[in-house]
Amino acid sequence: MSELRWNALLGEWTITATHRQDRTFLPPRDFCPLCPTRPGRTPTEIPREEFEIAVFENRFPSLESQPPEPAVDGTDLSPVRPALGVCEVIVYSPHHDATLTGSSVEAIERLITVWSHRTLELGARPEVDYVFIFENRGEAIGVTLHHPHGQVYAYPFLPPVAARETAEARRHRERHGTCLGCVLADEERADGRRTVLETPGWRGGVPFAARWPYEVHLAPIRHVGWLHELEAEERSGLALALKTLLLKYDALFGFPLPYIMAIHQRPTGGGDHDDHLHFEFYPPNRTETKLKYLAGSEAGAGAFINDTLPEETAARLRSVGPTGEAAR
Amino acid sequence: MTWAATVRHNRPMEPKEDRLRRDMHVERTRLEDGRALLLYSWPVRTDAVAAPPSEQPALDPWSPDAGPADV
Repeated sequence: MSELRWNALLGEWTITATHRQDRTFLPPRDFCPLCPTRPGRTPTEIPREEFEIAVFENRFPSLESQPPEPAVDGTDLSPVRPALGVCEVIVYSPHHDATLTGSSVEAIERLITVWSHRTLELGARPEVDYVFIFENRGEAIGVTLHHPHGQVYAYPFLPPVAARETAEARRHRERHGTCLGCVLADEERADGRRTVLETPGWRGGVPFAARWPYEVHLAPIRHVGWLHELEAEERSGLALALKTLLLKYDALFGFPLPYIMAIHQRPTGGGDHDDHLHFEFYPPNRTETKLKYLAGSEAGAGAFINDTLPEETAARLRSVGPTGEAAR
Repeated sequence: MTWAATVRHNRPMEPKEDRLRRDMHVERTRLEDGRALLLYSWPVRTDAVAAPPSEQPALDPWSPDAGPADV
């Protein structure tokens, strides 16, 4: 059962997807559903003995291309509609123990190409307003499968964070005639205190008003809205930036740092949008052993409290792991 | 302000698959229950698969020799 219910108080959609309660939860490695199907073994989601990168529609989708009718009737104030959309799983590798961190830059470039292709295909569907690609890493984030993978949600609406970013970008452009993302990037590069890494065409840094202690954003220096607009050298620069950042994260406390990776692209539903492509990483750790939870102020009021100074966390991230070409 | 900062992007999505695809191959199929499955491949694999962690030498993760591995 899945449907969209309108939250009249917040002015946003909530996806109700009850069947996800039954999804696979931390299966033993021999029963990993994202591994290739081996002869004589339990079939997995991928009926092949070998593959490079696989994408399939999620068995437990929040959004579906042929969604069921809603279970309840809505009202004028609280409408309900079918959960139309697409949820896909992107399996990065046939190897259960592979990691993005341990991947070659060339292999990461191929993954970026797949992300771009999914954005193009799903974004072209008339019912899709926003293509959101993300990865959850680590049990602290709630990962239910350890095999390296990410996900794609193709929403039939502009989700709240994208809507706010789009609105702020538009407001800035109307006031100043410039791209907010470009101006922020220029300011941050000139300041330098929060910069963590730079690769050809890309900059990574802790944002000025970071919500999470080791939050990092990666953004192209050129004004680009979608992944498929990147030139070849920019794709290569992004792959190197991703690898560099992940090596830094893993070096920070000496273990693979859990994180959420969120790719923010321009909406695909048409309209006048000026959003600047960027990646956001939110690791939940505030120290080696302590996690930041979304508690009263964050969950109840939407106001984040960061226990660290972005200038200090950026300096720490600069000091660990590789820089630039050394990550290759 | 960068050159692009004054450019308005109000056009819809324009497929540029050819630029993306280059040598990428996409095999499209369906799983038994009808869900879509896409298998992406390239003529030359890059993955030189990493050994499982237990078989790896002492880790110097930012060494230039740390990769390559599959994604």
